[in-house]
Amino acid sequence: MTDTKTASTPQWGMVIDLDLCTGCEACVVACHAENNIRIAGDEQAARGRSVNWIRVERYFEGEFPDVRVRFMPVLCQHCNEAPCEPVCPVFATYHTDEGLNAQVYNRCIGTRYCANNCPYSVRFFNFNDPVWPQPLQNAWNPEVSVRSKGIMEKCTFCIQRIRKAEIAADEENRPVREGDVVPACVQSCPTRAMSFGDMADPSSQVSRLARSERANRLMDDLGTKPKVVYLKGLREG
Amino acid sequence: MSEPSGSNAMTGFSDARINADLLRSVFRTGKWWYVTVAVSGSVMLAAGAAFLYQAYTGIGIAGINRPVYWGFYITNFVFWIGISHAGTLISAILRVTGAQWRRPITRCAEAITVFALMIGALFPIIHLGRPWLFYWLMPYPNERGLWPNFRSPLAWDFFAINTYLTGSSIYLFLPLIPDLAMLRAKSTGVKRKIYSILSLGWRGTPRQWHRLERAVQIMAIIIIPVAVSVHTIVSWDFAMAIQPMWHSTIFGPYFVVGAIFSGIAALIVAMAILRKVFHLEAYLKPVHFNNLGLLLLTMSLLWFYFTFSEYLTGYYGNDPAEMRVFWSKVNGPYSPLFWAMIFCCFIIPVPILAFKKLRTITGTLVASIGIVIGMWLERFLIIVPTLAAPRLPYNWGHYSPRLVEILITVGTVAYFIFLYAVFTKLFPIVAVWEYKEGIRPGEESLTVRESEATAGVTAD
Amino acid sequence: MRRSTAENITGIVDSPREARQAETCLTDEGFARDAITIMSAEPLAEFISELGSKSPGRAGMLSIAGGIAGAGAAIALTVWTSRRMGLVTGGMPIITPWAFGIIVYELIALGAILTTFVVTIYEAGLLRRGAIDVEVDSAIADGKVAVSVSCQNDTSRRVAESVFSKLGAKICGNKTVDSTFTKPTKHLRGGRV
Repeated sequence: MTDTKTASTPQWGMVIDLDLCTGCEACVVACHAENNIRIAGDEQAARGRSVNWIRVERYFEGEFPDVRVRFMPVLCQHCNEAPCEPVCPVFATYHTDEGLNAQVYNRCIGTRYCANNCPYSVRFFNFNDPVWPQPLQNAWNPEVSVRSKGIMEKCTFCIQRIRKAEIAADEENRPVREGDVVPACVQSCPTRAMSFGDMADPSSQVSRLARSERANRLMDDLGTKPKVVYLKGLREG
Repeated sequence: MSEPSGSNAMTGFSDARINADLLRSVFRTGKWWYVTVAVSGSVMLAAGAAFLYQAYTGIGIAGINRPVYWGFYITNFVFWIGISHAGTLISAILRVTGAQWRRPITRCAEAITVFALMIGALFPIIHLGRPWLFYWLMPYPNERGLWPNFRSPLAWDFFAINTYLTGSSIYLFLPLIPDLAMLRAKSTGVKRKIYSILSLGWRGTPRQWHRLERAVQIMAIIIIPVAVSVHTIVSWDFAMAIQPMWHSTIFGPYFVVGAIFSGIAALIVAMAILRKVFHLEAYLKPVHFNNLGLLLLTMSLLWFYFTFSEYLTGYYGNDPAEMRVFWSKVNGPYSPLFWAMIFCCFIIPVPILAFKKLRTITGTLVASIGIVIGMWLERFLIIVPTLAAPRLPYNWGHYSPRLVEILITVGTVAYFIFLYAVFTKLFPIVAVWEYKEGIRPGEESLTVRESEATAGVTAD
Repeated sequence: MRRSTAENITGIVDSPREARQAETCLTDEGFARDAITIMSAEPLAEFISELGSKSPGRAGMLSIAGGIAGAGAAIALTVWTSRRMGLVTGGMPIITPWAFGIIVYELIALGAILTTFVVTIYEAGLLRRGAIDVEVDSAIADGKVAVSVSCQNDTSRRVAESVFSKLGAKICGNKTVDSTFTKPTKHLRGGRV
């Protein structure tokens, strides 16, 4: 259970190109399907309980008729110095060797301190047991657990897909290749605005994009060292 | 010591009279005691049932949501831990500084501390998403590689509150032993047996008195830093987070001052009620309310100083995220509560407490009730507005409490009243031996204040 | 009737001053200081300060020792166990001196508190088996002072009784005895309590 990080351990990261994002929210839908995210329903959503591990934030700039809409998909940034990690009293959230911020569902007792400390507001709590209107439970992904009440959850970078790729690579005695791991959101983006891969590999697509002139990170002045890189055009419009 | 111990020249009260007055609550039960216990007991049970229902169906029946993940329960938690500083200030600080006027009120204050802590310690369990697993906060040996995270302020809370609760209980129990011996002597039957066991075989020899007084002195010295650390650590639940208007270095001292402030106010309320209900007018005298009122005035000014510093520096800092929270409190959706808090904690109490003519028992009581309400609002306003306005504006939200939270809040107040009523039935609420020790004439312990207070009082 | 090799005769007097008189008379008659026990419902400053200068007790030193023990326990609890558990943190520190220091602080206080409590119970002679004379107990509760002297034989018993009757003290015989702690009262001999 000790840290086993080596030079060849992949450090997963994501790049999102805001100039390509159309705000279609296909990533949101794909994430729901892949990760068995609960359906909140009208009443609970109105009370602020809807769960979207990735959400597209929409900000309007300017007055009519010069209105511009900015779309920003926000998901768990898997910060290298995550503020959510030191404050969980039972170690339900911790940092893995591969750079992921992991949430251990079974360990969470629901103090919700981690969610209060996340500046990106990407943590979601299960206030009640999830209700799945028939026959939607048939759409469950068998590789992902369904969370009961009292547990905190958030984006895992589709860790089930990461593990699957790593197991397959292990069986074939090779390292994980570029493009082996595709999280659901990245897979479903129609404009291919999102990329995912190993940041520790300087030749991977995410590493190259992260070195681009347009790269920046969300609220990195807070010192959280987020691992999601946003590409934003230097020119307005 | 040149007086026969049968009477007291200052108050004119005989020993027998003092015993009768102070032990009356233990030996005689009025109808209103039963009513109080019945009403508070049933409200308490209703709240317990509400909690069990919440644990069963999920915390979703409460009003908390995303982004306001902490609401009434954490407000109550901080509030009750704050109230618990009453006993420490009165009992410990006044003992250490040798203030003689503290004598009739030490036990009342220490009881408030223990019960407020017991209730405050419940809330971290009540607010959990999975409360049946609360014991995972304890470091116990296991085969699964589980261990609490000592870096988390909530883990520090666990140690701090347990230490304070243990210390306060012992600090309440030690000076209670001689009174338990007195109750043993005056009871019969099963009661006598129970008091015999509780009094641990106390005889009242000089050796025992010396050891006891020494122990109480040592405990008083230890418990003061513990109390300071407990509320500092509770404040660090917020200050250690990076949220706007939480991550403030002032929170440690701010909360301690606020705790002592609300603690004294709660003590005054409790004393005023006890004085009326148990006819202790000759023991809990205007001088006590006057002195506590002066302390309360000092704490009100200190509290305002800290609040003003906190808000002014935030305002000058002009950090956008902080200013959003700031304005939401000052002239936004939370402004009615904010200005009510300033009214209740500063604008109303200071004139009442500053003028001697107004600093009567009624005056201090009115000020104290306002302060208790105002300090509850202060806790609420520290927690909720920050959570309601997170950095990314897309996620702003609001909070309104639901029935279960209100019921549990009221239920814990009822629980407090219940515990207090049972306490006054089992033990004398004024420490008899300590009171008598203070009124012996010729003792160097008799201060000018005390003689002022006792002069002119006739035995009625 | 208590049957033991040493018997206690208790005289009830009205005030601390009379108790001092009784003590002086008894010592004049040859009783050892240690054999005389004063009991009262309030702390009597003179007697207490006399005893305090003779045997100040060790509560202070021992509570400091208890605090140190608490600190050691806290360090073992936090540092040693966290290392042994081998928890994964992905590079974040597992041993944080400031955070662990807070827990050490609390457990120092807890150690000192518990030690003070235990040492006080022990040094005050509480929780020991012994019968409490009901009549003496209620007299003390009513504000009187009891002077108890341990007598080795019949002669000393009579001497003690005469001293008490001369002073006008009410002498307590061995009437109803509180049976909560019912073993014979060996420890009351010699005025240890």
